[in-house]
Amino acid sequence: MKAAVEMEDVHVAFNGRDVVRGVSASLPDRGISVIIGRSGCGKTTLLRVLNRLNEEFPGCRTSGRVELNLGAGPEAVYPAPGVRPRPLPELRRLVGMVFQSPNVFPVSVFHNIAIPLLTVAECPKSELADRVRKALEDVGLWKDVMERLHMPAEHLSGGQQQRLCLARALALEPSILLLDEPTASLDVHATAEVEELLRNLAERYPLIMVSHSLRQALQMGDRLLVMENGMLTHRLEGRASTTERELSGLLGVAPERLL
Amino acid sequence: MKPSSSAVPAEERGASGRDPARSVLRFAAGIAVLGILLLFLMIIAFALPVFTEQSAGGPFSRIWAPGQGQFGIQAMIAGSLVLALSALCIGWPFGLVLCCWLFCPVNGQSGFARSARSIVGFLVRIMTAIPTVVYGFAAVFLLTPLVRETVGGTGFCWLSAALMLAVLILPTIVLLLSAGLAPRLERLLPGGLALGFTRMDLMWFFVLPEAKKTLFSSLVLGFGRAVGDTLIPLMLAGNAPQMPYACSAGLRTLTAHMAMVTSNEVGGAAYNSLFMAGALLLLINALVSLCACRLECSSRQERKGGRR
Ligand SMILES: Nc1ncnc2c1ncn2[C@@H]1O[C@H](COP(=O)(O)OP(=O)(O)O)[C@@H](O)[C@H]1O
Ligand SMILES: [Mg+2]
Repeated sequence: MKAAVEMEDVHVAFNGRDVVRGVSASLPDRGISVIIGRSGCGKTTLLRVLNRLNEEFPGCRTSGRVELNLGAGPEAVYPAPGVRPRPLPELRRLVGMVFQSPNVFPVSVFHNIAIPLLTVAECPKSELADRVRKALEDVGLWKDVMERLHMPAEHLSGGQQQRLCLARALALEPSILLLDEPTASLDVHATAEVEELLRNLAERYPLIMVSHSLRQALQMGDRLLVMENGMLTHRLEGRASTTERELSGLLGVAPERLL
Repeated sequence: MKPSSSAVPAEERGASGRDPARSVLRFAAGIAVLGILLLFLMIIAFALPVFTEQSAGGPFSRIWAPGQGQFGIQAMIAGSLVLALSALCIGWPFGLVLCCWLFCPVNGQSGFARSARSIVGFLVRIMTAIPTVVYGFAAVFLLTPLVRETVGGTGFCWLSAALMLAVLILPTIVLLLSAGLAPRLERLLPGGLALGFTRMDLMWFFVLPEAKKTLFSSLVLGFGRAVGDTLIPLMLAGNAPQMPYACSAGLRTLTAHMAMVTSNEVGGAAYNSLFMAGALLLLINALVSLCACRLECSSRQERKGGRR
């Protein structure tokens, strides 16, 4: 299988303090790669390396080599001598990211998807309605909102909002999806829905997910990356070969104390 | 107020009554309120007779010629409004653009652009502390010759005063706008950036359309500041008591008018029209404050309701 992500000796420091220290990994372009680790060990920061979002915070320095396959073979993401990476808006359109808590824009459901489409993806106006609809169908939200497209997105339930965020990212036709604890702020029912959805999406996209729960990591992950103190310490391939107890042993914590 | 004070136990109330800091505060607040009330009363009392005795050269006529018994302040009313509005027309858009520029740095920009931002931000803050007379004085030497060369006339005119007033209200507008806009923008980060938007995109699509109240209240308070300023029009507007008709011609504002007449004439019919001018200014500013208050209250409620 081709690699979607290649990282080599990636370091990230905020204000001189190393947060990610020498991560090297290669992730294939299908299936779900789950990153787990204690809170504060640098999981979110590692995800943000891939869409260069760390640069938006003051005092951040990133070094190392990062190559992504964004549809045209591996390409360097960070500027280096002789390398001119894609402009940031384009990179971020192609590397979708969903956050821990739903962050819908304070506009209507329709505009939440339409404005990024028009602005970032330069989608022609004639295709707009179709692409919004397709994105909403992809996340199973179309039936719920088709009559309320112009309602403020903030009036949706938490699970619906999170699915809208996914739809918004999918509408931009990304090559890779980053998910930062996508179910951490959802109830059991909404969690099940989003997990189901992610499993379906994993057949079409490479998913890189940070998970806050060992159960979820074991059920969903096609491979597990265990992170500790800014470094990848273990990598487990294949599903269902590990138990929660073994995993928490690897992390050095009791399962219920993971977060 | 009442129910909460009766809920306080008796001893506590007694203790707070003896608390010297508290009684000093109460005394000061009482004096201030009393002062404002007296001011209103006095101005209205003096302005009222002017309303009732409608003589030919009264304050609502057009011509100001105290030598001939003409005490019209129409030209000054027009001057005040026109000058404040034109200063607002220049200052507000500029303030909005400046505010957006300050809060929307583009990623990957040079260190120069970054330090320019922090220097300008610092300057805007400093500008609020500069006394008006310094602006006026600097403008007399730097701006008026320029205006004289470009539009003709003496340089002491509507345009000079409007430009300088715009500079004067700029920091007020920028600070008000940034207080309202920056937190809204902050809430969209970093999620909005992760979609490929720039900060400016986020500002344009999601912050500004939702912040009409902030925009409007900065407009209102900017206007209040511009209408109330005395020294800039006094020093720069030429002060000819005429209807404003061209940007190269002089005009006189209510504030400058009051300052001039009180420093030259003592008592007499001219004073009557001054009370009228004062009452009008008070009215305009009270309206502006009321407007701003209501906007502030409703936008605070809006923010509370919107947050979850
Ligand atoms: N924008 C930032 N500025 C400074 N320090 C940060 C920033 N983001 C994260 N950090 C620091 O990096 C460390 C790892 O954070 P994070 O990647 O969010 O951890 P995790 O997602 O594993 O809980 C934390 O100690 C945090 O304080
Ligand atoms: Mg995190």
